[in-house]
Amino acid sequence: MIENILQQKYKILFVTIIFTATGCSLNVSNPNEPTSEVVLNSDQGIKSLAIGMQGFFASTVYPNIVIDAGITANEIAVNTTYINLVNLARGGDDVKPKNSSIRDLWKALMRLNSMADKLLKNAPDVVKNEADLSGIMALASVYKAMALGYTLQFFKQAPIESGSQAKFYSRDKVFSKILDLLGNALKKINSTSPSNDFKQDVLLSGFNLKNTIYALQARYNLFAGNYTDAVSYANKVDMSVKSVLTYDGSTLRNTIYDEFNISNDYAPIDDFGLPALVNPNDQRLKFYLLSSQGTSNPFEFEVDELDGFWNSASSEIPVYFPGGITLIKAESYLRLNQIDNAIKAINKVRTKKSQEDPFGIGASLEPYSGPKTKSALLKEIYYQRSAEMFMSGMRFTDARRLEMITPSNNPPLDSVTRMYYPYPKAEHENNPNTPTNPKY
Amino acid sequence: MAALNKVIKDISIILGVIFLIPLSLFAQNNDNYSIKGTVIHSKSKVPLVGANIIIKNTSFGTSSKNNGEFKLQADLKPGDYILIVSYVGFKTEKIPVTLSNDTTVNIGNIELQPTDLMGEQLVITAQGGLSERKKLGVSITSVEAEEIENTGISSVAEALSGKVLGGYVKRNSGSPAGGFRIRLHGTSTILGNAAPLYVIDGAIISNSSLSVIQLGGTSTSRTVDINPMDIKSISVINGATAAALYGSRANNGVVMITTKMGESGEQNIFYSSSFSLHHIRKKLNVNMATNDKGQFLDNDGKILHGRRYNLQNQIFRTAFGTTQHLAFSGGTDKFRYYVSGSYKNNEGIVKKTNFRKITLRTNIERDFSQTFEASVHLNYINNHQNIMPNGGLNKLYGVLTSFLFGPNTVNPFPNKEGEYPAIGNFGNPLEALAKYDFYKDVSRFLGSVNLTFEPSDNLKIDYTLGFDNYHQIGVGFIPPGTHATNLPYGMIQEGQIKHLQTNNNIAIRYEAQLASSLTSNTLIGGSLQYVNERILGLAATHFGVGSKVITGASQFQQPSETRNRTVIYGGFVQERIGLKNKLFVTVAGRVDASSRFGANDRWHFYPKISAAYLISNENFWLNSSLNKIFNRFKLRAAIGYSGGQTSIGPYARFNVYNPVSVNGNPGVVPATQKGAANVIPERQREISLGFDAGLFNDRITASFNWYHQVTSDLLLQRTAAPSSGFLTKLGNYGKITNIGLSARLKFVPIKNENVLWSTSITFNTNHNEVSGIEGGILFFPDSFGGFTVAMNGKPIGVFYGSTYKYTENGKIKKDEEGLPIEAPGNQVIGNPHPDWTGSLLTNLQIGKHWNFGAQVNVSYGNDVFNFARRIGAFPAYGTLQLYEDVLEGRKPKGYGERVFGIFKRWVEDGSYLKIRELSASYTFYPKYMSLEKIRVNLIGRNLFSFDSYSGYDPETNVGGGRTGVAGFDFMQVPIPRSIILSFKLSF
Repeated sequence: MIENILQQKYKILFVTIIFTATGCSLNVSNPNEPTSEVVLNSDQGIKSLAIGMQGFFASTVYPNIVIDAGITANEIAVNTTYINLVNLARGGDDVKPKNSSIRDLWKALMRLNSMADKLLKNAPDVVKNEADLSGIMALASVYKAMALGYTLQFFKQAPIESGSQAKFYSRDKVFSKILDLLGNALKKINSTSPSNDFKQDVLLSGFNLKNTIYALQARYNLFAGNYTDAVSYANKVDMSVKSVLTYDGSTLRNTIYDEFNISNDYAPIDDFGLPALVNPNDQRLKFYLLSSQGTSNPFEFEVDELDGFWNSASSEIPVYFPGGITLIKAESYLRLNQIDNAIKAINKVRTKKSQEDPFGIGASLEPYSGPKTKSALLKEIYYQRSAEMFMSGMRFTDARRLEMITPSNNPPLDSVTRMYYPYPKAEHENNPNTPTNPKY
Repeated sequence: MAALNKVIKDISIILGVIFLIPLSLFAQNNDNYSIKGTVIHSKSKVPLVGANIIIKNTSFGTSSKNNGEFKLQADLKPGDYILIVSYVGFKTEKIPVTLSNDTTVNIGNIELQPTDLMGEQLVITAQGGLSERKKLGVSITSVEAEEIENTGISSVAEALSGKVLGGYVKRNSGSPAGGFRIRLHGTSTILGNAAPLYVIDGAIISNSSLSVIQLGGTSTSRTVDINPMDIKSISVINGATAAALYGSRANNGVVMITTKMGESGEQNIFYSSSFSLHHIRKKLNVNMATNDKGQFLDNDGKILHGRRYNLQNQIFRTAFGTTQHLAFSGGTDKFRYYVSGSYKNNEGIVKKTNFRKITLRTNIERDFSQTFEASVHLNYINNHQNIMPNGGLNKLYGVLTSFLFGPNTVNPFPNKEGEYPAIGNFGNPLEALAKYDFYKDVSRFLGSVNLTFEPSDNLKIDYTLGFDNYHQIGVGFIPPGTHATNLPYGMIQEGQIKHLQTNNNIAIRYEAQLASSLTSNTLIGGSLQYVNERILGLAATHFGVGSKVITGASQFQQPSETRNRTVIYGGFVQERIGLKNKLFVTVAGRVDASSRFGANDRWHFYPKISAAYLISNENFWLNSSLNKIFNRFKLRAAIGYSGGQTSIGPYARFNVYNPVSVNGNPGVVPATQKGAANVIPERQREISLGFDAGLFNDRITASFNWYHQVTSDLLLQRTAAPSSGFLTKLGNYGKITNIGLSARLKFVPIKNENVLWSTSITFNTNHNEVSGIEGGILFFPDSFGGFTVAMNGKPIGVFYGSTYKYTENGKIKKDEEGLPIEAPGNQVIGNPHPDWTGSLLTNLQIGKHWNFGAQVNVSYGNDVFNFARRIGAFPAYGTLQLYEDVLEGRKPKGYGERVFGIFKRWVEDGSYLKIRELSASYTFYPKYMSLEKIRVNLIGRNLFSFDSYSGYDPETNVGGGRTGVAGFDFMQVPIPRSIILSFKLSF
C-alpha cells in the first residue's frame, strides 16, 4: 500500500521536475552590461548614449585630431621614439596604413560616427518628449557632422553611414551630407526649442548648440566651396558667445594637457612652427605658449611649453573660434574676389585685443600692409588661422586648401608632411569598399 | 522473533566492528554445517583449482580442490550468510546462503568471470547506460575502483595518469591541491577551455580552475573535491565519435565517474587510514660564488661582506599528510546504500601551506516495484587551503619568486626585534612566509537523483537530475609594513564565486529482437542544462594596524562583479543494430541549442556513426588456425561530430555598452567588440579506426586506435573595419587538427593458483596544428607578454621568441668576448607538447597476501620554458648557479645580460621518465568474525625522475588550467616525493 503511494508520489515528482525544468528559456538576458536592446530602446538609454558620445568626443576624438594634425602640420614636435609618432612626423612615404596613430584617429572618428548614427536612427522611436527629442537629434546631427567633417580633414574620402562594408563617398557628397545634417539640426531646434531637461542633463555644459551649428555651417560651406553661404552663416554666429568642451579634471580630463605635461611625449614648436610667417609681436604667441629653451628628441625642434587651452586637466577647449569665424569670412571674400572685404576681415583679427575676444585671444597687430595679391592674402589667412586657432586640428586641412603644401614622398620635416593620410590597414583589410590610398 | 534476532545480529555486527570483538562470542546454538559446491570458469566452464571460499563475517573458509570442488565445514547458528569466492585473475563472487535445518547445503556451480575482460565487459558509455564493450565502435578507457583504492593517488586526475588511451595527464604544480592538465585527443580550441567535461553519476560538474585571487601557478581544478575512494569506476570517452549525450559540450571528451553503491544482502564496512610524508625531490643549485680564497662574491663580482644564502631549506619542509575514510554500504533486496565520510589534511612542502578536505557522501537506491527504481547521490565537500603565493603570471609578491629574484647576497633573517630586512625589489621570502595570509575556502554540494521506470524487459526510461553548487572564497592578505613590492601599506584581495549548475536528462531505451539474428537497441533522449555563476572581486590597500578584513583598509579599488547564465537544450536519437552477434552498427544524431549563441544560429545537429565487427566470430576465423592465437578480434570504425561552446562568453552575442562618467553625468559608449550574434559552436569532426584483440585466451590483449580530428569554425577574434563602429569581432575563423595514434598492450606473463602477474603498456602520440589565425600568430595573454603563441601551421602553445645566431655548421655564433650573438627577429623556439607519452603499469599478486605494483610514466620530446632560470642568471638577481658560473669565470662576463634577451637559451628539453609509483601490500585475513581483511600498503609516489631538466621538475606549468600556456616554468611548487603508509580494513 505504502509502496503504491510512494510510487504515485514519485511519478508525480518525475513529471513535475521535467515540466518545471523546461521553463528555462534560451533567451538569457545580460545582467552585467547594458545591451543595445536596452540602450537603444529606452529614453534613458538614448540619453546616456548622447552623454557618452559627447564625452567620447571630448576625451578621445578631439585630442587625436589635434595631435595628429599638429604633428603632420608642424605645430607639435614629437618628443618620444615611438615609431608610429616618428613616422607620422616624417610624413610622406613613412606614413604607412599600419601606422597606429592614424589607426587610432580613424577608429575614434568612425566610432563617433556610429554613435551619432545610433542616436539618429533610434531616438525618434524612443524619446517621446518632443522638446527632448529635438535637442538629442540636433546634438547627434552636429556630432555626426563633426565626425564626417573631421574625417575629411585627414582623409580624401569618408563613409557616411556606419555599418559593415560601409561605402565611401567623394568629398562633395560628404560635404553636402554634413550641410544637410547641420541644416536639419537647425530646423529641429528652431521648430521645437530643446527642453531644459536636455540642456541640464544631456548637453554638456558650455556647449552652445545653436552657435555651434552656425559656426560649423560656415566652416563646411567654406570647405565645400559655397563661399556666399559661408559668409552668411558666419554672420549669424554670435561673436560674444563661447561654445566649449568642458572637463571636470577627474571623470573627464583634458587629455592633451596630460599628454604634453604628464607623459611629456609632445611639445609645441616655437613660433607656432611657422618661423617664416610669424610676427614676433603677435600677442597670441604668449597666449598659447610658455617660452622655454628646450629641444625635442628626435628631430631637435626648438620647443616651448603649452599654455592656452591646455594648462590644466580641467581647461576648457573651444568648439570653434570667433576669430576663426571672421577668417572664414576673409577667405570666402577672397575666393569671391572681394579683396577689400577680405582685408577688412583679416584686419579685424590682426588688430583684435585680447579683451575683445571671449577666450582672450588677441593678436594686437598692425593692420595688414602686405601685397594685395591673392597668393599673399592666402598666405596671410593661413598664418592668421594658424595663430588664431593654434592646435585646433585645422592647420593640416588649411594648408591643403590654402595651397601651402608641396606634395612629396620625402617632404621637409618642418613643412606640412602629407596631403592626405592613407586609410588604415584595419579598414582596408576588412572593408572592400575602402578606396585606394593616396600617394602622399 | 526472527526480526528481533536480526536486530541483535545487526547490533552485534556494529559492536563487533567497533570493538573488533569476534561475533562468535555472542553466537549461540551452533550447528555443524557442510557447504559444497564447484568453482568454474564462466566462459570455458573449466574447473578452477585453488579458489578461496570464505563465509563472510566468520572465520570459516577453504579452497577449491583439483576438480574445482570444495567442501566447507562451519560451526554456525542458522541464518543468512554470504559466501565469498575469490581467485586471482577473476572477479570475486558473493553468494547468499541460508543455513537452516538442513546441515548439508549444495551451492552447485559457481562461475567466476575473468577480470581482464575486454570483450564481455560492461562499460559506461556517454549515453549514460551500460553497454557491452564488444558492441562499441569506439574505444573507451575505464579505470576501476581497485586501481584507485590500492594506489597512492589522491584525485580523479591522478587516477587517470598513464591510463588513458589517447590522452595525457600532467600535473601543473606540486602544491597539495595542485591542478592538472588533461587533454583527450589533443587540444581542440584556442580561446575556450580544453579540459574534458566531468560527469558524476549523471551530474555534470564544474571543473573550473578559476582562482578568485592572484596566486600564480597554484590554481586548483575543482575535481580535486571528489573523494577518490568513493569512485567505483571512471570511463574516459574521447572526442566526437563517442559522445552523443553531451554533444555540444563534448569536444574535449567526457570523463564519466560512477560512485559506489551497496549490494543487496550485504553489510560492509570499509575503513581506510593513510599517513604520508612528502619532501622535495630536487632542489635548485643556488649561486654560492666565491673567489679563490673562499670569500663570497656579490653580484658585481666584488668581495661580499657577509655571505650568500640558499633559502630553500627555510622555504621547504618535510610535509605530513593524513587521510581517513570510512564507508558503510549494503542493502536488502529492495534497498541499497553507500555512506561515506572522509577527512584529509595534507601539508604542502612549502611551509605554512596545506589542504584540508572533508567529504560526506550518501548514495541510496530503492526499488519501489518491479518496474520502478529511484536513486539519490549526495555529496558534500568542505575544504580549506592555506596558500603561499608564488608570483606567477600577474603579481610580484610571492615566496618562491622572491627567493628567485633575491639577490641572495643579503641576510634575509629577522633581527632581534623581529623586523625583516629588505633584500631586493621583490620582497623578502622569509617575511612573506611569516606574514602573508592567503587561503581559499570551498563549500560544495553536488549530486544527482535518478529515476528509472522499466515497464517491460525491453523498455526502460531513465531520468536524471544532476546538480553542482559551490561557493568559493579566496582571500589574500599582506599586512602593512612588509617589503612586498609596491605594497608597503598592505593589501587585501577577496574574491567569491557562487556556482550552480544543473542538468536534466531523460533517456528512453527500447530493445527489440527484429529477427532471429537481428537485434535493435533504440535510445531517445533529451537534456536541459543550466549554469548560473556569480563572481565578486574586492581589493584594497593601505591598512591600519590589526585588521585583516577589507574594512580595515583605506584605499579601495573598483569592485568587480560578473553574473553568468547559460541554458542548453539538447535532444538525441540513437539506434544500434546488431547482426548475428558479429556486427554492431550504431547511428546517432543529436540537436543542441545554447543560449550563448544568437537566436538564428542556435540549433545544431551532430550526427555520428560507428561500427564494431567481431571478425573472430566469423566461421572462417573460428575454423582457421587464427582462432588458436586470436581468441577475439574486433575491428571498429567511427565518424562523429560534436560541438564546443566555451570560446564564447555567456553574453558575447550581445552588443553591449560600457558605462562612462562624463563630468559626473552617467553615460554609456558602445563596447569596441561587436556582439557575436552570428557565430556557431566550434564544430569537431572525428574519424577513428582501431581494433581490439585477445590472444591466447586473453592472456594478451591489445587495443589500437588512430584518430583524425578536425575542429573547424574555431572561434577567434579578428579586427573589424572601424567604419562598422566596432574594432574587433568574434567569428568562426580558425581550425585545429589533431591526429593521433594510441596503443595498449596488456599481458599476463604468469597466471597460476598462487601468482598473477599482469602488465600493461600504453603509448600515445598526438600531432596538433592550428590554422586560420589573423596575421598568422596569436599571442596568449598571461605568458609574460606572449612567449607562447598559437601560430598557423604549428601546434598550439609553441614558444615564440628570439634565438641565437648560428654559424653554417649549426654552432652558436659568438662575439670576440665569447658571448653568444642574438639573431634578429622572433621565431618558434620550442614546443611544449610531447612527441609521445607512454606508461607502464605492472601488478604482481602472490598468493592471497602479497601484492606489488609499479607505474612508470614517460613523456618524450616536450620542451619547457625555464623562465625561472632566466631570472636567476640575470646579474641584478643572480640567484642561480648559472650566474655563479659567470662570477667564478666558467662563463664569460656579460653572459647573464646577453642571454637574458635570447629566449632560445631558456627552452630546455623536458622529456622525463618518472617512477610514478612503487607499492607493496600485505593483506591479512584475521580470524575475527567481523573483519574480512586488513590490507597494509606501503607506497612511494613520484620517487624518481630521469630527465635532463635544470629546474625543479619538467612536469610543471605556471599556466595552470589555461588552454594555450603549457610547459612554462616560473617557480611553481615542485611535485614532491611521497611515501604513503595505508591501512585498509574491510568488514
